[in-house]
Amino acid sequence: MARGQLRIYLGAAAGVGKTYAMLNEGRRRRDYGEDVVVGFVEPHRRPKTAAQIGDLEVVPRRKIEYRGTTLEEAFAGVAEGLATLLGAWFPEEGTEQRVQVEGEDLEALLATWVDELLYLHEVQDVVFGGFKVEHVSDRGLDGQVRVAPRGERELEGIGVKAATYHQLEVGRDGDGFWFARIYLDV
Amino acid sequence: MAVKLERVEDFVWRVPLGSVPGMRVPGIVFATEELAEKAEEDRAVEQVANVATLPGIVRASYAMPDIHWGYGFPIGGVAATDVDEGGVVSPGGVGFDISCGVRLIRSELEWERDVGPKIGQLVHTLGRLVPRGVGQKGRMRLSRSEMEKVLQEGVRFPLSQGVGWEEDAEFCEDFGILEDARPETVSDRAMERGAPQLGSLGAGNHFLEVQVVDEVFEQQPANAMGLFPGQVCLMLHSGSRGVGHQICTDYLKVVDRVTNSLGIHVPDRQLACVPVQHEAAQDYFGAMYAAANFARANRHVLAQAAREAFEEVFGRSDRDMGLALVYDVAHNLAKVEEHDVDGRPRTLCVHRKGATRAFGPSHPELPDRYRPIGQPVIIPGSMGTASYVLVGTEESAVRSFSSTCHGAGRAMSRTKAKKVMSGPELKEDLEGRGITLAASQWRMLAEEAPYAYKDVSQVVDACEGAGLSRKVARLRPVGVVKG
Repeated sequence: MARGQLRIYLGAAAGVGKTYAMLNEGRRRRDYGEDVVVGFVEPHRRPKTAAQIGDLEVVPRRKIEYRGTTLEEAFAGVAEGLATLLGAWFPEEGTEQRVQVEGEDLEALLATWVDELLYLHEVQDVVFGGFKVEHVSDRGLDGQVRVAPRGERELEGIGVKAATYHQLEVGRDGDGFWFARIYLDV
Repeated sequence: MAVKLERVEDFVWRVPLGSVPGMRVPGIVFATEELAEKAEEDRAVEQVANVATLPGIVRASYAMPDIHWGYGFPIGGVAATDVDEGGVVSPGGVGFDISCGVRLIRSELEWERDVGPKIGQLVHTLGRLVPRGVGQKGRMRLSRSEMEKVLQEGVRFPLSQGVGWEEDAEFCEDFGILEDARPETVSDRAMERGAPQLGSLGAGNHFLEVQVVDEVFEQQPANAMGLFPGQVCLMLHSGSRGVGHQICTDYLKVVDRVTNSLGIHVPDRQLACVPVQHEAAQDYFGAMYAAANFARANRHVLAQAAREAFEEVFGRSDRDMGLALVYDVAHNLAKVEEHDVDGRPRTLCVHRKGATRAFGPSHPELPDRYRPIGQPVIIPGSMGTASYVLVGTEESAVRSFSSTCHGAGRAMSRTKAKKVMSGPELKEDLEGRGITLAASQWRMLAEEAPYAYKDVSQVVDACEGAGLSRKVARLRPVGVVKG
């Protein structure tokens, strides 16, 4: 078997462009005919980075976990994960729409938030351009969701049936970050 | 620590009381030694033990040989609770794809003589006439009031619109309609999602297959079902689509709240449950039955589309080709049924999630034609592998509340499956083995590859060994249409 090469991108600070550069290289090689697959990518909510994924094949996850500095960020992160799984993530596209959901507790709220997005996606036939969660408490969520008509786009994602309550968790971890986890039935 | 199985007898394994805290009954897993080992590794056995904690559960928490890990309940799980003793219903014990199921259509056509030379054209035409894929709209787009009719009437609705054969209703479980469905318990959202989707295949592991009867194991039931070697049949696997997903989502939320308020503790939140006699449970039943009516109507409409494809390709009417429905079975449902437990009849809520009802001969709910032989059970293999037709037994009533397996069950996760072979490679592999394929998303194809599923013949043999059902015929695929 031929020897592989591992290339590591190092950056002096967060946001200098490691992921961007790597994805850019990935797409360049793919265009030359190489077989390129993204195993894992974390865009850190940077639209330009997410855009670099483009149409590279990503191995999807059915469990979505997100760590954010705030609860709102965690909920927005889960939404991006969902949109990516659906193949419906088109950063910056569309217009903002207000979304409000209620729940018994933070976990039920997370499930309801995901289910609300699934409903919008299916019934309004839209793709997602951004998630801004303004306020989350154990009573409800208030946010803005950027949606655009799906149009003629063929989405390269997986069909998601619904959010489950299996190992559903929202809380703070040891480092003080907010953590949200949800499993989706696909 | 992983939950372990103890061998009871051939094909029967026990999950002992105390394997997880709060078990009210033991678990019973029907399996070969190999399948039992896989179930332990998969942690599905732990889920069998978790289900055994449900209030009112009777006799045992069962699992079929095709058991695999699911959300809350394992897939392949059967659990019955006593309605009069505070027994519960759990929406997770039915699943999101309410009444996902299979129907089998037979024909007078023979593979060698009639269909073989035109298989490419047939698969292509089926692919064209059957709406499929993620989010696809259906053959019949319904108004709100029509949607309510389907939810109430099941297959009677498309029949009233001139779609399908009258006798299709007779050869469907529950004769194609669950009378206790209550559309008023179905949310506006569920209505909205379902209205454009009647007559759509969906995606994932839903499919349509042209098959050939490869071997007949028992002549009498095969004759009753109209099956013979070399015969061409059509198998169709689909469910309740968006309306089922939404109803499960809606009621999971409601039941979750009630579980807490009643002080019921469950080991997995997805096992949220409520006593059947509680208002919330009654509403759930009303809605779940409505979704089941939709699923049956959906398969009914899809079957007629398939008949039209045959008509187009062979230039003969569907009646002339004998394209009759053998039977339609559900995999994901909870039904209120009478069963004898400890010598007396009890009213039970029987959850079957990834399991099929398997009534034995003489059961009053069977159509006349099948009363002498028992209920036909349709077992789809995974794509490109053999499917089976079985028949239910008397014995299954005491062994598993009249339940048997539903299909192969997954051996590896979808992500792993995709790493073994790509969609196009898989297509080539199947075509090399004489199977013509139409798929709307090549990328997804690899997730559904045969090696991702357990060997269905082993599963079916284990069910027979355990006395739950018996093999009637094996069918091999010659054409596959996938969502």
